[in-house]
Amino acid sequence: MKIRFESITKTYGDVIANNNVSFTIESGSIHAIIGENGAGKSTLVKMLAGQITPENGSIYVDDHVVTEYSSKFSINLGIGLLGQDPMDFSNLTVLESFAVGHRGYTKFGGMSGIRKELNDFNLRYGFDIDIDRVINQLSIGERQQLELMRLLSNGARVIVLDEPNSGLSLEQKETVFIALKSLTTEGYTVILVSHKLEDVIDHASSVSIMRSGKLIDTLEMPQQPETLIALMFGQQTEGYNPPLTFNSSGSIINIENVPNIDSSLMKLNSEEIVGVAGLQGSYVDNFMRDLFFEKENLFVLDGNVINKKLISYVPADRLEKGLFPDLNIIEHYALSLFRNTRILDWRDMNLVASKLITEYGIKGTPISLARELSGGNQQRLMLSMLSEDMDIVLLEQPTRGLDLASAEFIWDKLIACKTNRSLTMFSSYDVDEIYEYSDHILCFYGHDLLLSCKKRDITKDKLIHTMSGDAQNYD
Amino acid sequence: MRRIMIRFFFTPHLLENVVAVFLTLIFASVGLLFLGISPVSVFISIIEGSILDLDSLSRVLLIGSIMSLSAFALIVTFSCNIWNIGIEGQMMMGAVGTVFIARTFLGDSVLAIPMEILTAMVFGSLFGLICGLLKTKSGVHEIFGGLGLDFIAAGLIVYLVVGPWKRDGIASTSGTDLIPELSWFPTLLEMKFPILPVVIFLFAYLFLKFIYSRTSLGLKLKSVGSNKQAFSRLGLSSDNYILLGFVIAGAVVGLAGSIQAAGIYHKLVPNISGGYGFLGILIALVSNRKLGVAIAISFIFSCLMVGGSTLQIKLGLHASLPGIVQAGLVLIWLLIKASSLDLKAINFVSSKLIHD
Repeated sequence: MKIRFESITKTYGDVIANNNVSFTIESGSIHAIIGENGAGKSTLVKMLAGQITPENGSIYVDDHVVTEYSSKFSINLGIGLLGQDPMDFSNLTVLESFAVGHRGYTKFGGMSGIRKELNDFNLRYGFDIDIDRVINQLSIGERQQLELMRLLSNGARVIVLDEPNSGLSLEQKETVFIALKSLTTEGYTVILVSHKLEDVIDHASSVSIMRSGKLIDTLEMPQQPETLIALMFGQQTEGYNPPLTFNSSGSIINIENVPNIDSSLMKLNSEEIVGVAGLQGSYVDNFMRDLFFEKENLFVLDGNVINKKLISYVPADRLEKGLFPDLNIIEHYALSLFRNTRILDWRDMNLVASKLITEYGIKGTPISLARELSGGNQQRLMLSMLSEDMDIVLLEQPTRGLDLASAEFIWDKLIACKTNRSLTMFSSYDVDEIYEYSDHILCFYGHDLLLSCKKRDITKDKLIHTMSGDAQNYD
Repeated sequence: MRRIMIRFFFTPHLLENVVAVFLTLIFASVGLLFLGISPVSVFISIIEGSILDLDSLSRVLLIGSIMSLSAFALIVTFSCNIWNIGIEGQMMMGAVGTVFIARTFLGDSVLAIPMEILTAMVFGSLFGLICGLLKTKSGVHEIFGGLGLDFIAAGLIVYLVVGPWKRDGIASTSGTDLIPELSWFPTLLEMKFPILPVVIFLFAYLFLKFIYSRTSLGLKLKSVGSNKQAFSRLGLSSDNYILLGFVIAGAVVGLAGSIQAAGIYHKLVPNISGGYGFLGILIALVSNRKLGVAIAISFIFSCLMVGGSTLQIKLGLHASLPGIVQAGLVLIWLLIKASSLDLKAINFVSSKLIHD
């Protein structure tokens, strides 16, 4: 089946997720859609799966325009979405799980037919799934194979893989891709959404590159990794002058006892902003959290261990891990800024709250509950909860999902405070953000810290290659 | 000062609750009419049988105090997002602590009552602490831990009653010997008015109200229930505050056990908690975890229980009817709250008023 996107536009508030995107996916191809996090890939395939409706533009399937955006309509069209988490029943056997919702299964049986169908799939695509095993004994890879079979059995002609990397071992991944390749020879179309270059280079027959909601280009494979990287991340601003660092004290801060990381890489100048880069799925996901919560980790400033009470952690999941959904803004300050006060003076705290709400531009009142605030305002609230005597601030993706104005505001605040703190460290998947705001850069690939240097000693291009695991080829 | 007092006792939801009570009564009346029973005579006889008679009024106050205390204890643990099913056991241990003191040399002295109250609180909170430690240190869910501990407490009481504390010459499950009169909770003058239980539950109310409205401790108990991860991110130990929640709840409900032992039975009997702990869960939920509302509901329940027992005699109704009325009222109340019928009614009436 042939899929054509025509002038697709979708916005979320101020964020443009898809901006006038048009391209065609030919029948019988493995077509990859690549781009950074937030480039708009997922939005696009969610429309194809009928989960969201575009504001402008249309999708054509085999030259018929899609008239209705619903999951049911999309399944009837033959679109099958293979998500990151398999949709099965972990306490049933493979056969039982497959039979639930299967059109051949009735109250009076039909199991033998389903058993035969599963065996056929196993044979045809080289899978090796024991039909009578219980689902929770299968690996994630096997469960994704089963999910693929379910999609095919339900009549899917287009298979969409949305970030299929998690949980698949290399071998299982190969099996899935071999099966997908043989499907394309039968006329099926495969759409692969990924930010992993290796999957794209190894398997895709064509590729569309997206950046900031726009389609940059659609190319036939094979292509050089450098070409794709350049398109994914945009034109490099080489020769960019890093701002002067203001390390007036010349103090050194060491982070000690971090497992699996060479302590020489964690020797940093104080009063700087340290950016931690890496792709989603690498250790950068948990690095900030572990730095804060692991009891053995020590932050040592010129030989003196910094009191843990002066270290603050601002997680990326604002409402899940950072704030108290059912508490209002004053109560948040009572727990953070006034944490040493036993008897609370609400009038006094109300004044402080009003002042901070104005200062941080939070759209809310002192008695607004955290869950009533928008993401940007939740982030502003988290920042305003950091008291001035916090010596080390660890921020996880501080501008994740924020509109431009909020993101700029957050950075203005962080930069204004950086010389008052021994260390401001943040993690981000966004290369531009890392390169723009860091004085010092750490970069992870997978579980390894590959790089630790001053920003002035590295080009953005090199950083991008290090993040993507392509550092060797770069030199 | 007067304004502060008013702000202290009346929440902005008072009107809603008054309307909800009104609606509940209307729906319950309709239900009774369907059964061919006059709702007016049922309600009148419940009121007559509960608060208009001095004897019954004393019982209403006793039972209401006990129910309020267990609801308070559960509101504390609910604020930490804990299902404290072990509440019954904690109450039983409060009773055990009370009888333990009454049976020592202290029981026949003027120190008896303060020591009973203190010991009941300590026993209750230690028993709560066990449940808390099982949860925080060993990962045993509080519902299973609490239920297990309830059985242990009940077993311990039976053992004490037929074993070490058995009556002279006989071992009967009807209870231990009566404790010395000096260790009974005093009643007001020659009437049976239970002054001490009322003072105890009012004091507990004021104490908890203060903790939750004015102190950092109350806010921390509330916030650990709202989001444990955000709590630990602020450098606070969620385990410690959950344990503290168990300790406070155990101490409060230990007081209820003390009232049962020294204010009602004057001895230790099996099943001394009388199921009021579990009823407290219902009250805490129906009151939407508000201390003041919990008192009102406790006393309504208490009136229904005490007054309901006269229905059979006065109106010749089946003995199970009071239970049905009680359960029906709770159900209707919950339905009204869930469908926000009370709010809709208020909006409807106020829009009419503005219109005219």
